[in-house]
Amino acid sequence: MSYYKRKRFYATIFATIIALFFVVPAIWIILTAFKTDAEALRGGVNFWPDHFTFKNFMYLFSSENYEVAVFRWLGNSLFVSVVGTVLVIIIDTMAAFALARLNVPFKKIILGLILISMLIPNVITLLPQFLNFANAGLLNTYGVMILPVTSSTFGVFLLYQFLKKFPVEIEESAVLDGASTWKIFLHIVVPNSKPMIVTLGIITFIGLYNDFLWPLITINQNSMKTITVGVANMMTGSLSISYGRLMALSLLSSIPMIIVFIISQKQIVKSITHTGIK
Amino acid sequence: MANVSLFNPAKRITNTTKIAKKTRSKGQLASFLFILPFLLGFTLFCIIPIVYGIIISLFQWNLLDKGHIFLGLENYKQLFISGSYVNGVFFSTLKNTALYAVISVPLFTICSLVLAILVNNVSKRFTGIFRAIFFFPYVLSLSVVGAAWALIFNPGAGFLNALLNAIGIDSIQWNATPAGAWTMIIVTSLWWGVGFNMILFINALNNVSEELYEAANVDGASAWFKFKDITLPSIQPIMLYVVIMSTIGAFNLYGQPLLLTAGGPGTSTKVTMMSILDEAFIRHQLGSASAMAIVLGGIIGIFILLQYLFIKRKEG
Repeated sequence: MSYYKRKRFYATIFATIIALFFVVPAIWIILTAFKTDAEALRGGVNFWPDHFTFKNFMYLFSSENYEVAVFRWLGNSLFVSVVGTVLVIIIDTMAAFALARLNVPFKKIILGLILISMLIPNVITLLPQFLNFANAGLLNTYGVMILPVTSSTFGVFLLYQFLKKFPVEIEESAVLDGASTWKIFLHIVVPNSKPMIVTLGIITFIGLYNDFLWPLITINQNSMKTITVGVANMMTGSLSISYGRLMALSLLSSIPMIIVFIISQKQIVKSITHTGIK
Repeated sequence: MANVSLFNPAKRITNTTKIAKKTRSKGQLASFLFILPFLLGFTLFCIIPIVYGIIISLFQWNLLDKGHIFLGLENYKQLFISGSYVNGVFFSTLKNTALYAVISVPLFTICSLVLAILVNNVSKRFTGIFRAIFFFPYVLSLSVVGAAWALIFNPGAGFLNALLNAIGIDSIQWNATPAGAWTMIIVTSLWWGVGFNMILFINALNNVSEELYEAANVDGASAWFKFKDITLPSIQPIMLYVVIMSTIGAFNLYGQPLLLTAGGPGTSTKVTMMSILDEAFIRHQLGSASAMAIVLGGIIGIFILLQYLFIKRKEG
């Protein structure tokens, strides 16, 4: 073996060992979901279930249990993530277009406020935001889970910077052809910003689906919980955790993200590099 | 917005004016409509809460009462008077949070860099697989990650103690000692987030100029020399970015201790976010909780500012 081949060989061996650290917990979740509680709590290296049981899943799916509403929770999570993401994409793309291209009044002040707001960490808005929604009677609604994300400046900034670097010539000629602002936006700006819009969509979707703290403090009504809150509640709520059920619920809750990951892994990776290097 | 300079400024102005003229014919209203939805959300869910938060922090504000008593800066004073209840809670948890930051930030940065280098050096056909394996926990939710590792670290049923027993080491009661509890939190956080930073590092490593390495090869440089004198300086900006982002993340730590240790044993893994939420939702003192949030926000804000200045500098 040449030096380079040998180097790659050892790196591959080393990477395989480290990969176990990442893969084993995931396999452990999956297999525990199919174990009885007695077996899940038995201890020892009993990786493979003695006999696969679907009892944990049957419990979660059963209409007689009032604690867990797994389909409702999954539905809530997907609804909030999809609606929130679409909303953010529309709002942010329009705002970025206006700021980068149109004659918006007080543009300098708006841009300044956006930049300042990016310096302010979430912990500062957390409690007053909660109080506002509580006073408006909007706790335990989809509104409380979706609306705050419309104030995110990340997408506006990302798209604004992209459009600022993007040549104006095409839009200019469209203007000369008599295209309306709306048409320019829809037929030129949106298609050309696609990579950034996809980035914004992916980051927002993952963020909303996996959002933890905000739904945890604003949602306590069972039927309105997201699946993330459901898993967290099952963990911290009862005195004795049934690990079989907990892992079954975790597995179900991860299915949408696993599908997203498998379909768009390359796109997610690209999106992360977009966010890192602005 | 230093990057505007990439564009010919004079040309940009004429272009903007042409489009602006077009819109002006329909009045500024049309262009204002494009930004209105954002301004609405931004005002309602960002600006108003910030101002409201500052106001609340100046009151004795009970979550369950309607009457609020104006205190001025008393909540902040209490926070910094040693011996007061909030002072004790806030700074002991801040100390825990800082401890986590001091351990996790260098650890996560080094681990993600090592993984990035490793992924770049494995046999080419496995690159994609290893990248995916090291990265996938990032798309899982904190709840799921917490649940998985709670089971793995479970003293009786957990996989980790089973492994330790198999090689002749006694079971460890992970959540019985501060060191064990922090180990749980750090390992869980590492598993969850290291892939994200790894992606940033892989991208940075792939952008290092090949010519530098070729020149070093001609000179017969050692691998260590190439790493120290070419790779590290080239990826330094991303490294700084990762360090700052990890620091911000560390001060926001909440879910992992909540799910894995509940702040225990005692209060040894209780972090600042937990003390703020306890103050607000268990003691119902929104005023002092807001003051604590603003002070913590100030600390995090310093790091965000550093990151912002550094991005600015990079853009020139």
